[in-house]
Amino acid sequence: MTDDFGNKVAELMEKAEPTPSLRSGWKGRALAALAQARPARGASRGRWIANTAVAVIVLVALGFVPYSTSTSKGMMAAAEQAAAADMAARTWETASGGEADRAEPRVEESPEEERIAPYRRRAVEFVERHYANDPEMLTAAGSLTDDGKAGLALLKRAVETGKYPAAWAPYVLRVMQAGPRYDRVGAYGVDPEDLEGLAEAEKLIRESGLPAKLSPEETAPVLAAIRAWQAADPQNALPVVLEMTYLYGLHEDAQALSRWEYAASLPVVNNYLGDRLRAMARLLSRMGMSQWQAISTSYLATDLPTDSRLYPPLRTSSRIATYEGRVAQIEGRPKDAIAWWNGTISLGQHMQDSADSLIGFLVGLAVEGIGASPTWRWCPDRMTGIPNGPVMGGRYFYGPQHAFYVAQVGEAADARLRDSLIKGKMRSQLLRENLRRAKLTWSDMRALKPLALGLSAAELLVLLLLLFAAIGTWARRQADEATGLRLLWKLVIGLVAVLPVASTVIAFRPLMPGGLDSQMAAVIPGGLALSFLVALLLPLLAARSSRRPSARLATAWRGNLRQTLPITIALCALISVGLGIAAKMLHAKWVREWYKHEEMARVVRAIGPAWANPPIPADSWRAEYPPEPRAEGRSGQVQRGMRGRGRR
Amino acid sequence: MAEAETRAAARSTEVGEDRLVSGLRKADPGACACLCEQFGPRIHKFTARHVRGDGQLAEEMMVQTLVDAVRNIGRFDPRRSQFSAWLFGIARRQVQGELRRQSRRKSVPASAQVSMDVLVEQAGPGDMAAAVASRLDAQRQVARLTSYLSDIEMEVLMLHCMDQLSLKEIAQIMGRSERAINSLLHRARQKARERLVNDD
Repeated sequence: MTDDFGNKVAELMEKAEPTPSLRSGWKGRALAALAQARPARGASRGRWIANTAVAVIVLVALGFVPYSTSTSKGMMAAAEQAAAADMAARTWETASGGEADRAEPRVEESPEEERIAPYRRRAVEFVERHYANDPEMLTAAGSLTDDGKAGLALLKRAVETGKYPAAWAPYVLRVMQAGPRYDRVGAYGVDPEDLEGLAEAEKLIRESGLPAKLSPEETAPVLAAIRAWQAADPQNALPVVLEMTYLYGLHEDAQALSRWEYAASLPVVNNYLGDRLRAMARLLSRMGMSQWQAISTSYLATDLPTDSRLYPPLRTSSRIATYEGRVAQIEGRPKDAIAWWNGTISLGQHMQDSADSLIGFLVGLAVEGIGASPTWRWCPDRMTGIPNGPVMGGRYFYGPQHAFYVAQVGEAADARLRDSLIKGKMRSQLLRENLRRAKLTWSDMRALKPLALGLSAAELLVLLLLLFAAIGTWARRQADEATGLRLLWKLVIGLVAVLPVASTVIAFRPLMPGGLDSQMAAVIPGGLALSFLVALLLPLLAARSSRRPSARLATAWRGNLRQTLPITIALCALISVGLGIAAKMLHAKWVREWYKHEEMARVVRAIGPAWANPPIPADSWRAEYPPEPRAEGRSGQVQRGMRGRGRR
Repeated sequence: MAEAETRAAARSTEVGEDRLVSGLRKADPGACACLCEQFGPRIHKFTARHVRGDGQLAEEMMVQTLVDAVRNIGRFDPRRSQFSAWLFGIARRQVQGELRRQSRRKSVPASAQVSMDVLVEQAGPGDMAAAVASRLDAQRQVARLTSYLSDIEMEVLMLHCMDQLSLKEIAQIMGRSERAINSLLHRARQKARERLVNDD
């Protein structure tokens, strides 16, 4: 094998550094050690397959298995649509420009409905099985289900427990939906002296095919349900208002006026929307929806379009009251006229004061405006041609019956009414200006950011682990020895690889929620990809200088990867855990806040002290009739009657 | 030359690699004994050279090499390397790990000192002075050789001359092609010859 020169070298080496002879008993010691050693099971290929299988299973588990109920799905859904959570904003959109009396949520086109549909189908069965005696859950399921009969049965059981007043509103609503309807001229809000308007209203009534008068037999079950609600909730004006509308349909006008005055004397107008939203969120989360998605969806799942049918009767009855007041004025019954109008005004003010939702406040504002329309009327600049109106682009002018009203109640009462109207409008303006800060999606997005980033970091971690498993099982010693990367550089490379992900967090911190979703969707995957590339390429660059003289570049690269990836993974894990904890805390706070504060309270809190004393600007009213009284308001227009309740 | 022939003859009587590997895979005690017999002294010689005569440490590393080989025999792929090359590869990594540890300790290891015991054992008490002089001379020559050859050339030369490994085995141990090893060895021999001739 070796020639003479080789032997000469060997002899020289041996002479310079003689090989120590093996100590006696070396074979026994070696055999004893070998006896303890056993061939490792599952050698390279098997281990590689096992590692890959475990990594794939983890990846699949993280990515898909919990997807149906995970926060990631809820997060993505909220980021894509945020539709239900925007209910308040959309209510406002329909009510902007002084059209507050038309405020009504529009959710027909909502894509959220598709998400809720399976829950609607399962609600009754789920509650019967798990919460058969819980009135809150019975109420939520009764409202959620699309089976009217089963829903009514659940709501009736909830009402009969007597422990949950909020059950009355959806129960009565379901009864009303099954009950009779009518159409009468008074519900159109026309001026009795406006012959043209009256003729148009009568034409619409004929076209509707609805009777002008209700039959007592058909109305009896509805009235019984409404009166049972009154008995259970005597301070609430809402059931009294509903009773008034049915009495008016029965043409029992004197009784209707009496109930109207009584309703105006009650301090609260409550449809328990806030309570029912909480119940709905609880039900949806128990049925498997993530908690924060359940909260945002609860607005739609509570079925606001149906629920809002508790509001149109209020507006319709306000128009009836204004019409009947005008009839009483014409017929020479001034006290009745003032009773109808003042009742409407008081009811609207009470609604504003006791509203727990934006729509409740806006409808209250509208009811007050309708009641006050004979004496004070808001006219936009475009109608009057007088520019720079300081109250939502307009001013208050005398209504057509202003002189009569002042003669009956006095100037001081009239001035108080005017100031109340202006304050209401100014509050509307404050709402419009502060809605973005106060609406629910603001909190959604704050919770969304750390959740999204935390989950993304976790996914990056899994990918790196997968890569590490692949590299780690392939000639690891050879790779380790091929490089001499220093600890400091390992740390630097590990840290730099994490920077792109970390920078996305820092970059998003100062951004406001508007348009955040699309930016996040673009930047976070970009950050992840960049981190991944950096984690792979920096060790390659470092391998050029760190590799041993005898090692190949690729082997040194693998060695560097083996040494730097654990650091990157550890940092990712730290970030992930930190973000996860932050997201959990934020989420918990958000849920707590949501359950604690109703929608209106949140808005008022966001607005601050200006809400209690809104500024009344100069030139916000004029002691004169509007320049073109026929053009500005809707006195000449035919309003929706009882037949038009709901737009679904 | 006669020594090389003796070694070759001895090798021909050794248990075949295939049988040895299959025995180790079955955790056969007889195969372990064969492994010790056949490779223990060679590995010891290899490790001892790198730890400068520290016999105990060299033996520990040799035993650890054999243990690692038994534990990881499942990873040995006969299509990729010869068993002896694979075993020397393990020993080489043991040595490198030990040298790395020693460099971190930043102190002179006991093995770096001249071992008088070894000297006495080899030379005998009578001609101690001549032995010391001869050894110091040899050490000087080796030191010059080491400074003249690069690390990798020195390593290839040692594996070939001292450990009697073939080019193929060295290539497998060092993770290089046989042609590259041949070239390195040729260069190393040339340089060593130059140096040794100059010294003479």
